[in-house]
Amino acid sequence: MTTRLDPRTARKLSLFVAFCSLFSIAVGLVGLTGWVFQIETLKSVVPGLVAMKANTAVCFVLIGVSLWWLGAHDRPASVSDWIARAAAAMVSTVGLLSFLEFLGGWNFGIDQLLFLETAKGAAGSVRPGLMSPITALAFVLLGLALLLLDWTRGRDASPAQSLAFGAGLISLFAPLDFIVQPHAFHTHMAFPTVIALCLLASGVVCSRPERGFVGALLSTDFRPGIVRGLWAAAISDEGPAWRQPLRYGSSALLVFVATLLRYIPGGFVPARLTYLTFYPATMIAALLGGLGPGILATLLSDACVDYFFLEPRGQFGNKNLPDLLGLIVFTLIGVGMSWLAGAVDRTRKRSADETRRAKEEWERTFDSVPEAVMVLDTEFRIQRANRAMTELLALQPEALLGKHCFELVHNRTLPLPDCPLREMLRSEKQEQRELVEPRLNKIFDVSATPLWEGKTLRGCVHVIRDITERKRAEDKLRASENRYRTLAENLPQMVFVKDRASVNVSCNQSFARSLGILPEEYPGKTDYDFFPAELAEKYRSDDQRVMESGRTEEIEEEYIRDGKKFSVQTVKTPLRDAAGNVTGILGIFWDFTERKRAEEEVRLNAELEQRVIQRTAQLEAANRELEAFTYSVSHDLRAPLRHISGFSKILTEEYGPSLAPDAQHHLQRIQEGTCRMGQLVDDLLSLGRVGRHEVRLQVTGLNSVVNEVIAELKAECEGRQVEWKVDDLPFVECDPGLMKQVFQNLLSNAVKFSRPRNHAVIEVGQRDQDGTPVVLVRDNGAGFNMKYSDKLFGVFQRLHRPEDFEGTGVGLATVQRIIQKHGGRIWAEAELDKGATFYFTLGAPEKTELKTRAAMAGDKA
Amino acid sequence: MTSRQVEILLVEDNPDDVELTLHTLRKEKLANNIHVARDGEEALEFLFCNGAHANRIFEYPPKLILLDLKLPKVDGMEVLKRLKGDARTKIIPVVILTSSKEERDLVNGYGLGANSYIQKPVDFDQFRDTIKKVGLYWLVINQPPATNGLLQAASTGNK
Repeated sequence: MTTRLDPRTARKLSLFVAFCSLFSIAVGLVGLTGWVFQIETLKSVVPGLVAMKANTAVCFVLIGVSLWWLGAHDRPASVSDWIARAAAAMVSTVGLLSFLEFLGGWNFGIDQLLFLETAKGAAGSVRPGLMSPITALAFVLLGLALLLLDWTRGRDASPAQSLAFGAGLISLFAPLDFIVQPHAFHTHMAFPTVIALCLLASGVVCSRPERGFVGALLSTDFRPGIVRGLWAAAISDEGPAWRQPLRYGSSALLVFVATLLRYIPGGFVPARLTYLTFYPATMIAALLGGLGPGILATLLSDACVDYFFLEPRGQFGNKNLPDLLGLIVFTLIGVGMSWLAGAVDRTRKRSADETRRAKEEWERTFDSVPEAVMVLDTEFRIQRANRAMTELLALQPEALLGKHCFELVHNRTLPLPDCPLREMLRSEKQEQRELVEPRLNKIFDVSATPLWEGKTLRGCVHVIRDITERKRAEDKLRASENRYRTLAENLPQMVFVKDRASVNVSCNQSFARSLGILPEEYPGKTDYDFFPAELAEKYRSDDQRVMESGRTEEIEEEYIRDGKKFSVQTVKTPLRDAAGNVTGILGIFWDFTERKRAEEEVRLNAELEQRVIQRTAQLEAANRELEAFTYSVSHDLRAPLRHISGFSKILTEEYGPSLAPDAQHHLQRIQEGTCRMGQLVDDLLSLGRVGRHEVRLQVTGLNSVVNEVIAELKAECEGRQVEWKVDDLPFVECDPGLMKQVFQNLLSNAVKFSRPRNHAVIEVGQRDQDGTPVVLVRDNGAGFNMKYSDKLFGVFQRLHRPEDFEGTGVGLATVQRIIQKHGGRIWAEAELDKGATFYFTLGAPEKTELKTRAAMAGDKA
Repeated sequence: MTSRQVEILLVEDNPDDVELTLHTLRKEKLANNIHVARDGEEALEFLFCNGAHANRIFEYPPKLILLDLKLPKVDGMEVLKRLKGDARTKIIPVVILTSSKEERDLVNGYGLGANSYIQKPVDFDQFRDTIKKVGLYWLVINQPPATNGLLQAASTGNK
């Protein structure tokens, strides 16, 4: 600890220290001169008093030089410093040896080392040549002080100053001795020695005025009253390291004063009240300094009483028993008092510590809470504000004190109308509010807690918490919540939330509507309340699986409502809390029955299409085979017929007249057989051609077709009475060539089968059946039995004998095929021997598109 | 073969048909010099004087060819195509005489340059009549160009 000193004071002190060292050297030199020249006056100065010993004189010179070097200034360590320290150490050693000689009565041979002293010259001395024990002790202390001056940790001068102070105090016992009993020689000290020691002690104490307790004493803080400051520092629990030496020094001082007071009354104090002044001194030392200083005071008092006031005086020990007992009693009492005082001091110190700690803790807490805290009086004036508060207002703490809070915080001349402080003054209870402060653009949570002094309201503690962030985060969260809630509510998909045990938590409108309940009715129920047990069980096990795996799943499943089954697609996602634990499940599902059906349809269509293409290709292949077949039939089947016909003809022509009539008849049969066979083949080929023929539609008037055919049939009707009744027939979309074949077959049949009638009537008409035109061909011919009607349109199927009505049984099959190719239908009504009626319709013609595609497929094949 | 000009080349695989045709032609005295080729290959060799007919003289082509369509080895359509595709032979009248009445064959036949298309009737009377008419028409009524002209045209066409 370093104190900045007033330069003038520092200079004065520096001069004083120099003076002290020079004085010491001077005293030493004078003493030595006296010894060298055996001038008694120079040795003792005051005639009749004890002479300064030669060792003492040498010590004065050495220590004076040492102080000169070390004392005046703070200088960096140099060789001369080390010499000065060596001198100080030497002085200390001499002092220590001399003191030990005094205590133990030994002789180390140092007393007569320089000069021999006669017993006569040594009057008043302990021993010839041996310095006074007090002087020796003072030298020990001063030497040590000089050694320690700059040598302690942190260059703390306090130990050195304490040692020097002690040396000064010890030295003061000698003048005491002079004053009280000038010739008693108790201290065995020469007069100049006393002066020089006192000055040396002062010089050492003052040599480092900016440091140690001297520095503290001289600092500005202590200026007003040095003594008060000294005591305050001594008894204070805080403060610099020199406090303890100061306490002990005070003890010594008190004992010195007590000794002095014991002397001053002279004979006034009775001899038996030896300890009269020492008890209070010890007590005060104990009370002020505690245990250690108390014991020091006790022991010093013991030494002083032993030395100065108990017979024989002027030496330690060698006392009679009652005095010794008195001394022991005093010592015990002193130690006891010191212990008590120490205990009291410790308790006091502990309580003071606690108070201080509590205060410190409270202040730290006050300043470190993040909330802004103010202590206000009832007039809204700020008494105290913590750091958060000053930071909030961006003001210095001093600027807040005593100001009205509403002025500083709200920039108003009056408190806010909804100020919780105001409310608190009225209710005298703690109040809390949320306030929006537009000036700071912040939201505060403000509380006011009353402070009481007895029963009077003294003020309040005002805690202001900035909740702007939290509020905004809450608002944001709420807005976000709202957004997602609205989304979920209005999703057309069905949304639900269940807890860990698959118990319903919430659902959206869409789902509630589907279940036929209100959304509020959903929570607390389970799927078992709404669905068949088996389905509910499936849902639940799905839920549990998803929650256990923690993975989202997309499930296609069934959903049953009002007995109707739906295909739904469900997405189930586990819900987690902040720690990541699964707490429930979120599900979204939607009906995709329609889509599924559509997909199925598309798939089926594609399949069908594929099948149609395949079939058509097969059909095409079959057709091609059939074509090849008919081609070869028309070639290969006809050729042998021709040969049979040819050769039998040649036979008939060239050898006929020579043959028997029977043989001629047989040849005739062969001729006819081949003829019919040729007709059959031709008809079959025609039927096959119709099958392969592509329908070329054009609007055709049926009347013209019918008339054309009737004209061709005229030859056949030769010699017969045939009445033709032809109605107005419609114009239809048909293939005219094929349509002509139809009428050729139907009308020639009518002509043929009406042959037995004398008056044949053949009608061609039309009628309407359910909006569809039906064309009919009627005759009054042989007719047929309706039970064979199913054979009517079969190839080679005949309902009449060939000798009655010739024919191949291919014609009607050809007609049916043509009608079917036009998308129509043909049927017949008949009665045996009454006639027959054929009806046909021409519906939507065959779609040519598929045919084309099939043809293409066939080509590729 | 002799140097005498062949009047009719009958291309027909079926021996019965050959017999019936020859019977009719002879009976009607329409042709004395008839050559029968039993398949398409032989017909082509005869016409182009190579193979088995390498010693034939090209300068005397037949006056009429009666061609069946369904033939072994090279079919009638192919023969017709080669015949009508060569300038030397394309002038020879070709009458397709076949069992088939398929539209396809008719179209193809005329498309390749056939001069007539006749389906052999199953009835012998009709058959005989038909053959007679054909022979009469192409060998008697119809006027072909002179042989020289024919050759001229052929050689010009060749160039």
